[in-house]
Amino acid sequence: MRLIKLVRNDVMKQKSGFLWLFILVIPLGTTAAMFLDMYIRYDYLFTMAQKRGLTSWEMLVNENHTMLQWGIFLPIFVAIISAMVHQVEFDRNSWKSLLSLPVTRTSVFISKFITIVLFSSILIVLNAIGLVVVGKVIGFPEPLSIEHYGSYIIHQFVGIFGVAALHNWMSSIFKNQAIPVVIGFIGVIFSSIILYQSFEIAKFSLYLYPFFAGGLQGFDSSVSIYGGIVCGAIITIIGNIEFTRRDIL
Amino acid sequence: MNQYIIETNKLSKKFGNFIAVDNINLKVPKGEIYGFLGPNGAGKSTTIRMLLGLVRPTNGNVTIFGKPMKECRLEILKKVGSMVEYPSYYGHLTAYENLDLARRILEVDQKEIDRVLEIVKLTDVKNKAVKKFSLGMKQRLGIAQALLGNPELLILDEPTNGLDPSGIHEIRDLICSLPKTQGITVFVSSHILNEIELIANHVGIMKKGKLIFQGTIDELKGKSRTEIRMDVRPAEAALKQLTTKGYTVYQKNGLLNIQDKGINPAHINRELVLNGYDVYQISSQHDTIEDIFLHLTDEKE
Ligand SMILES: Nc1ncnc2c1ncn2[C@@H]1O[C@H](COP(=O)(O)OP(=O)(O)O)[C@@H](O)[C@H]1O
Ligand SMILES: [Mg+2]
Repeated sequence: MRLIKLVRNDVMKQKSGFLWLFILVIPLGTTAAMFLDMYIRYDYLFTMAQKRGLTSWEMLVNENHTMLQWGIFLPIFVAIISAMVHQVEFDRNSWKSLLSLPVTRTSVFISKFITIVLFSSILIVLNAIGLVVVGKVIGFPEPLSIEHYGSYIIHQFVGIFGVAALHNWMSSIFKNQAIPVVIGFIGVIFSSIILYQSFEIAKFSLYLYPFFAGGLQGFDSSVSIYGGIVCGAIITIIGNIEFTRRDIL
Repeated sequence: MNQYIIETNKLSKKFGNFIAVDNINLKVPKGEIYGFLGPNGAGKSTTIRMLLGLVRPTNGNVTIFGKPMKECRLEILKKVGSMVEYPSYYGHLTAYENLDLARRILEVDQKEIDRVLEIVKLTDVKNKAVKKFSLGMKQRLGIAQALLGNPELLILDEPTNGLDPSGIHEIRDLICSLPKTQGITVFVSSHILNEIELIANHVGIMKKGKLIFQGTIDELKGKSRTEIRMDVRPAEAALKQLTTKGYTVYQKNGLLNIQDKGINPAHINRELVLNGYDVYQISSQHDTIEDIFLHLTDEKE
């Protein structure tokens, strides 16, 4: 299928390694931070968790998601991945030669979206693997709940669809990739302010769907699934209409 | 069936109120090298982008291989190789990897990469990152990519732009060899006439978005004007004589000048002598193809 070939090409274009470095270094950092957190505060945190009926593993996800703010920052990482996936086409204006090949613009646009989600998923999975490693090294007393961690990964995976779609579109527009990244940053800051005001409004911000994926008490994590799918689909459809009609200059 | 490989019908493109391409009807015959000429800003690149479906025409349409571009874009582009303005490439990838990306989309055999690298003489550096290439090498890589999969039509936008004379020569030879060896139709643009004059048999000349000439090189040469300059005495009477015969004559520095298409100095000389004028000196000068080009692209502002 042509779409698979395009995705493969989009991954190939990242051979320079910056993107790979990025998605390896970030989880390495989160793993180190979580290790330190558990190493220093485990006894205290575990006592607190027990009061709320949480296991060590659940407590670890909460720490990762809210104390470390992984759930808040993930959209910014997605924005940066999107910027790098698109940058290669702007460097030497490769859009014109790519789109002069026998490919539909839609398949090119969707391929970029899939590539962004793909790299972001690696980031999400590595972060989760890091948590498992931390739990094992610290020696959590409870057995690891694969189900819980699997659900954490799936909710984040679907939760980023909206951000990935929006940034896929924005990154295809701006030659200067700093612009969509800054927009993403502002979007995240704004959304997190709203988050602490009202969940009812916050659940309409696509920048928060990865946050809702955390399964935190007081937040409905299914919002990340519905929100991710609905925003991802709508924005990709609208973005694609614009992308296919655009003049490539 | 259509004997033209590329045909456009009233093709136009506006950017805001600015008309970049104005109602042009291109006709590019099969198996020929068609030179698309015009000064910078004439609308060549915009036209080429419309031929490739990169830019939507404001008006008119494009037909390639007898099929409408709008409906049959994919089918057409499978058989078209192109390079638009500066070559595009992924700098950190090698020449081979760059071609492999395009090859995968074109669904042609991996052997094709070696074949086209051989044609543009980049085989020795195929594993080198393209960002380390000279401009000429990048340009050749762009042409190599355009040649992948044996296209029936090659569209090249200013392929010699920014090259030194030897680089220009190399690319010119390469383009010349294609129709002969592979039966490819080549559509090549340039703002430099003598580059095209040597390789093309058909030309289209653009000026301010309009196609002001289209035809063979010979037809273009037929546009050549001859200027006859003579020292005739008495000059005033001779001027009157020639004017009544229908020539457009003017006097300059005591000499009579006739500037027109298809005039013959021998006829004029006989005319004058038989009517009793003394012809001290007569000379004729033809426009070179360069003069014609300048005359066509300069005339009226
Ligand atoms: N995106 C654009 N917006 C406005 N004007 C443009 C745009 N692209 C090209 N033009 C104008 O259209 C004219 C034709 O440009 P172009 O097709 O690049 O000419 P050429 O290739 O013959 O040098 C130029 O005057 C140029 O300034
Ligand atoms: Mg141009």
